[in-house]
Amino acid sequence: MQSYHSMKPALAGLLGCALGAATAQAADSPLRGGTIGYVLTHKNVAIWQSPDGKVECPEGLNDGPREQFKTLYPPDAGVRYKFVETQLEREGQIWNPTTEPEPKLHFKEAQGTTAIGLNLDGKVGPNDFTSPEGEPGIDNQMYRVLGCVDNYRGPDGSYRHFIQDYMRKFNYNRFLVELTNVDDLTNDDDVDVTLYRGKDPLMVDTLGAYTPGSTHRIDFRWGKSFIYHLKGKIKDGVLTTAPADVTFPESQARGVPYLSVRAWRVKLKLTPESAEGLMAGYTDIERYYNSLGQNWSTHHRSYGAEPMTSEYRSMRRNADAYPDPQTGENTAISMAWEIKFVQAFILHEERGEQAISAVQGASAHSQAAGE
Amino acid sequence: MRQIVGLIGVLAAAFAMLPAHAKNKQYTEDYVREPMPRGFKVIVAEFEGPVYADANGKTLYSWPITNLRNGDAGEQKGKPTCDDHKYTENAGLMSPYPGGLELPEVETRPSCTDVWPPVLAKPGAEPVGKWTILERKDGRKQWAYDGYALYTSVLDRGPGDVFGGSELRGTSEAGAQRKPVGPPPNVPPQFAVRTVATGHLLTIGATGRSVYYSDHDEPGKSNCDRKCLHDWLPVLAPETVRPQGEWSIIESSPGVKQWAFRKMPLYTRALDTRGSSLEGSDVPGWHNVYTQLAPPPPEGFTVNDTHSGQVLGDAKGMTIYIYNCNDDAVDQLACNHPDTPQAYRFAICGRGDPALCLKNFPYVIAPKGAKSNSHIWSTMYIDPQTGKKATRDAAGALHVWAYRDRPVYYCARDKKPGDIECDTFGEFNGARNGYKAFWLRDDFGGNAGGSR
Repeated sequence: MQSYHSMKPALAGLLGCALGAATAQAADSPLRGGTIGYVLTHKNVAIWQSPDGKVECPEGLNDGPREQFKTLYPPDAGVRYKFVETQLEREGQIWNPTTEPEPKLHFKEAQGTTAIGLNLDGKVGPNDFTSPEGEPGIDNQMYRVLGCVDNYRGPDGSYRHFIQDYMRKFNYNRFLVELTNVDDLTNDDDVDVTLYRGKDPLMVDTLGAYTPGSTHRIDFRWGKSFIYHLKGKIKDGVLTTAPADVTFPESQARGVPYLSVRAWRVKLKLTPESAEGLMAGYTDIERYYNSLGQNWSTHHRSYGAEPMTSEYRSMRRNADAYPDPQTGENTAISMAWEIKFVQAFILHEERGEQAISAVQGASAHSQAAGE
Repeated sequence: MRQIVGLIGVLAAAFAMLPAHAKNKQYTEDYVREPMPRGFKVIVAEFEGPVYADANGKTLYSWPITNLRNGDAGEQKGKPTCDDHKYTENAGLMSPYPGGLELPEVETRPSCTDVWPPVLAKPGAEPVGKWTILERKDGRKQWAYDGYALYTSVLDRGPGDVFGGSELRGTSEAGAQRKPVGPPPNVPPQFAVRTVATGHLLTIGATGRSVYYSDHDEPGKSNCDRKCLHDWLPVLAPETVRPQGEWSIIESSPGVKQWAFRKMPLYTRALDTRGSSLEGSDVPGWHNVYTQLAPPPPEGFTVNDTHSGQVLGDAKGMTIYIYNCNDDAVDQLACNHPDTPQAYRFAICGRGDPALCLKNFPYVIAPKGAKSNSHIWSTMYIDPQTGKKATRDAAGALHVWAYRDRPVYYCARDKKPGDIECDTFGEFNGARNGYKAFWLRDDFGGNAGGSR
């Protein structure tokens, strides 16, 4: 039996679902005073996969560090290998990568014309992909690099698993998005979007599912470099943001690296409880490569057969934006991530002088806040 | 960026438990006086705190067994394995690389006992307390503490040196490392001391929560009112407890007993969400409690904010890096000291090229006449072509800063104060053969010690 008091929120939730975004600022909607927050719960490198993987990876998946080591230094060659000329040689190459050919190694780039992502440059170019939904001009050259690397592929690629694991476990990765100046969660051609790093854990229900409605404090102490103010618009319930250069934290808990993405933007289907879609932009290659090594040691990359030195060459080969003014070589590569958020209340100050953003905004609209 | 004078001045109050009447007094950690065999003593080291030492003042170490990726290394209780065998191949204990590879500088590689001389028991020696006597494979008798065989380190030159290992550094990713052995801190059972980069942090044993004191209080008196008590929770003392040494009990309100340390009432912070937190010290007037502070770096170094906490920087705020290395042989010898093979470091910093290393990870140059007022910081002359120690007048020798007798470095990728582009750079995230920033505080990860 459910009491009246415990039933009320459930009823409110049902109402929220039923009325959806159309009732943008209904009494129990988390959109209060024109403000709604979300916290990131899932992030995966966007990898399109054909049913059997043969379309994009006709030669199969790539070798990882362990397999590459055996190729370079066959254990049955009758050679007494030296540590300096084998393990240290490989680690030296990993940490000081070059674009020199790797004649004994074969790296398999993803093939085909289908990829998940966004049209970043507004053009349809010869190297662009078509999205699974048929949209041409998709810019996602990182898919060429990572599409046949087991680490990133579903359903159980190692990195794919651990990035979710550490999303939950490690508050360093807490990524908050706050929309303000929102008149209508379905259609609004001018909203403000602010990115923050939070410092609180994700909230899960008894089945382990992320639940909306949790409270997250903003990390103003250390996270200043992760705060960005962007402009966006909502059309038919889909938020898009204007391109902006951003950095965001991404760690597997062993270090505290970050990614740097040029002309970053999102395309997110919004509801009062969640947001889901893509983020994309041009990833700085050197930062991405270093972040990968700083996050994920050779041992860890062996789980998901990820060959860093070969990937570096592929990244440089497929780089498609931001040429170095001196060398003319592109320094960034188009990339996309699939992302999911749940609604969250974003707390702008510590307890004592606290003000939940939604409540703060709602003070001028006390009736709308339903308080 | 704050000048280090700030570190010494402002943070001295924050780092140490320094009530107003005792400013500038450097406290050392009190310890439990355990029964000890003759010929041994306790030395309170500047960073490690109280450690056991032999008659010559050399710090004692143990080598507890550690689970590595492909097996275990180290010693079980009662079973010393460090011997005079000179290993020539790696053991393949750290995935994904195989064993059987010929080690660097194999012709001159020392044995385990060359580097870690066992602490031998004299004929007629008797066990006492936690101190026991083991029989080595060669028949000699060796002292053990808490069951683990004891050694000294050839890196330690005099009393107070603890260069062979540290309580702070060392996860299993760093290999099976030696740890200094010392008596337990003299704290009541409900407390624990955790070694973090800034010193020996007082915490609640069961939860790991940090313990704080307030400038608003007075020695022996709490002034924490109702509003204060909302965020700061008095550390309650059991009814039957009695004062001892630096520990006393105050009655903060009628019938409520609260612990005090060095006369100041103790609290935890309601908003702390992780163990060993330093976040409460951001609140004006509130400070973490340390049983002993880490010695400050030499004059001119700075503390700099990053996106996860604070790191040590030079006078211009550029981040200082420490190089970590443990080899992959059965005896797990260190390779992060200038007296050890440099091939490991050269691989990571410059693909084997010393010139590239010098460009990518420059040494932190010490000014002529630079002085350190602690054991843990020093200067040395280095030959950058070999990475090994040089004489003062050697051609091309660099005069560099050293921490724990190892040079410290910059990262050429860092462009401004607080950049940490080369943190966790190298094998196993910079722990096994690579670089880590000199972390002083990490509010998200475990980089500065304590727990995540």
